[in-house]
Amino acid sequence: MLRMENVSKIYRTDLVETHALRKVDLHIKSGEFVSVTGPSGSGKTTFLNLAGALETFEEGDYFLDGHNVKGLSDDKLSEIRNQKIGFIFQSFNLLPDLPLFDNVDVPLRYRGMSAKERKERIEHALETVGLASRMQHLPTQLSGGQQQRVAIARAIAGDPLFLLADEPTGNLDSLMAQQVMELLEDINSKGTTIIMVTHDDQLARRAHRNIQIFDGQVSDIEKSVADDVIRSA
Amino acid sequence: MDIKPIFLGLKQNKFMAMLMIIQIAFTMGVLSSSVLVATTTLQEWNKPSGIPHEDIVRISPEFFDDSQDVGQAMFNDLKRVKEIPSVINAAPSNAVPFTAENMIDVYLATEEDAQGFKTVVFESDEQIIDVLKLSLVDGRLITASDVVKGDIESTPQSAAEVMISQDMAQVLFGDDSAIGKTIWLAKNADPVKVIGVYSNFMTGERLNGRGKSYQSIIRPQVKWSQTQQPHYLMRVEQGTAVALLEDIIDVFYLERGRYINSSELLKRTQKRMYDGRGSRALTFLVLSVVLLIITGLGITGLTAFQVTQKRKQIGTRRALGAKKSDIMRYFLTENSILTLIGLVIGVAVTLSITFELSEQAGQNFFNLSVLLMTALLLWVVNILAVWFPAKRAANIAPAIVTRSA
Repeated sequence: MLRMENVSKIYRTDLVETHALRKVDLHIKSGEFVSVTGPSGSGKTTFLNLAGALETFEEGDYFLDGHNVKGLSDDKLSEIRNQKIGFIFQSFNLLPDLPLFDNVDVPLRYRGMSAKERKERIEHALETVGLASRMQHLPTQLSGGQQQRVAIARAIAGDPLFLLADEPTGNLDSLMAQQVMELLEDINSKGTTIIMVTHDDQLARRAHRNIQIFDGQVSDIEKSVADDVIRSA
Repeated sequence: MDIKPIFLGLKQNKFMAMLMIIQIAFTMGVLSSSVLVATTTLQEWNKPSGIPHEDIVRISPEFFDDSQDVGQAMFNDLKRVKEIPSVINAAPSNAVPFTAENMIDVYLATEEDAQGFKTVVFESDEQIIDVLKLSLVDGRLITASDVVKGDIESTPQSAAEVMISQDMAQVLFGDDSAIGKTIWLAKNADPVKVIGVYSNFMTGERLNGRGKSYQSIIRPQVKWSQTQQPHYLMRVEQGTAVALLEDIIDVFYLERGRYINSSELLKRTQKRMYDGRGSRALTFLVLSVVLLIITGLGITGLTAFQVTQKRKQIGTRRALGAKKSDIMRYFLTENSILTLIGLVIGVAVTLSITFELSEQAGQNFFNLSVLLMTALLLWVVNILAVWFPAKRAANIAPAIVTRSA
């Protein structure tokens, strides 16, 4: 479903060249729940940006659903983000001016769906996260955990190829983090692939598989050994 | 693009939205009013005078010696001046074209509540028609026998027949013939009968400014006193007016006991009439351009501020699938909605301003096409003003969403 081959990302300024990712080879299969961990500055965000088609890269190939996204136009990358990826951010990134219904509606509108289909999807997604009764509330009227659940609803409403979660519990207290994590696991159990970047070892351990990034290099660890690696890190 | 999210966004940012609407409405109100006044003013600029004013000279003498016979002097003046080669004709007149002297109300009835119609009365002899080179439109011309001449004190009677201009006839009688109709030059005055209608000529600024430039009456009478003497209007051969002026003045100095109070080519009189208008129109237009620039910069500033405030939100939209063109369209549509509301309010403001101005000036300043063109101009300026910050917004990288919160 997602395959990176020899992908490198270099940030260049007049004075410095920073190798944020070095020759990454990675394959994530449909239905997996993968955690991505690594210390600050290791390249996690760069990996997230490339995996989410938020940034372009110069070297290597990145196949998403069998199609290479390398060198695609900005508009084409927008379409891929819109149709194939569901984003969940650490700070939720809900649009504060829009009620929950319309927040979940944002990516669906860019997809050009009919109003009827959008409404059905939005209502279903908000029901899934348990906020169907509050769809006309503004984000500021919700707790952090509820806001993140709205963000999850927004991510799943378009039925994407995979969810890309960036520290989804980073801004939540432990109880809310637990609820959000359970929700993600529930979504994954129904077949949605999830890639989750996190600092939280406990959360990472709950994934099927852990990918560690150190100095821009990826080590892909199967579940059987992941727990040991995380424990000793 | 659906506009519902834009409306929802505006609902949450009422202050900013109101600020932009007020700015646009204010600009529209002031801009369109200024442009309407300026264009109306400039439209009056080149109205035909209806007379060969470049070939007409005006002389205004004044007696200081009370013992002189004014009537005889007038007879002598007209005789002498007509003997000057290149002087085609001359006539005494109590009023001068372009100066709106002797402005009165004329009535169709004598009742207390009878409506008055603004006009300028030219009291002159039968030569005035030829001096001003007017043509007969209806009825007949005045003749020498129609003219009442004499000293004011010893000549109590007044001319009972008048000629009126085409516009005057239209205002008073519409499509009916004016010939034989009775009018009153004052409410308690004797009635006078219209015997002829002549081609229009411009009377002066005060009437001109009220869209009544060509309403005039010629009354065949020449009256004088020691302190009140008519002007002289002389038509000369084409192109000779400037060269002849001194010769004409010299002729008038042949009469003793008086001096030439003023003399002028009617070409100059017309220019004086328009001088103020040009400055006023120019001032309005300059103010309009300055206001337009300020508004454009203001809109650019407000939009740029919004873009800076909403960087993360714009990045989020991009991350969720918005193309650059979607972001551009969002800002342009949002601005268009605000502009439209501002323009509607601005048009209402303009209508009330122009209504008030029209009431005060007695002149219709409203012009739909000018109003629509102004609205279109303001719209284009707003689009341009939003274009650059919107472009900047569209270039916000979607990766901004993964940077620190």
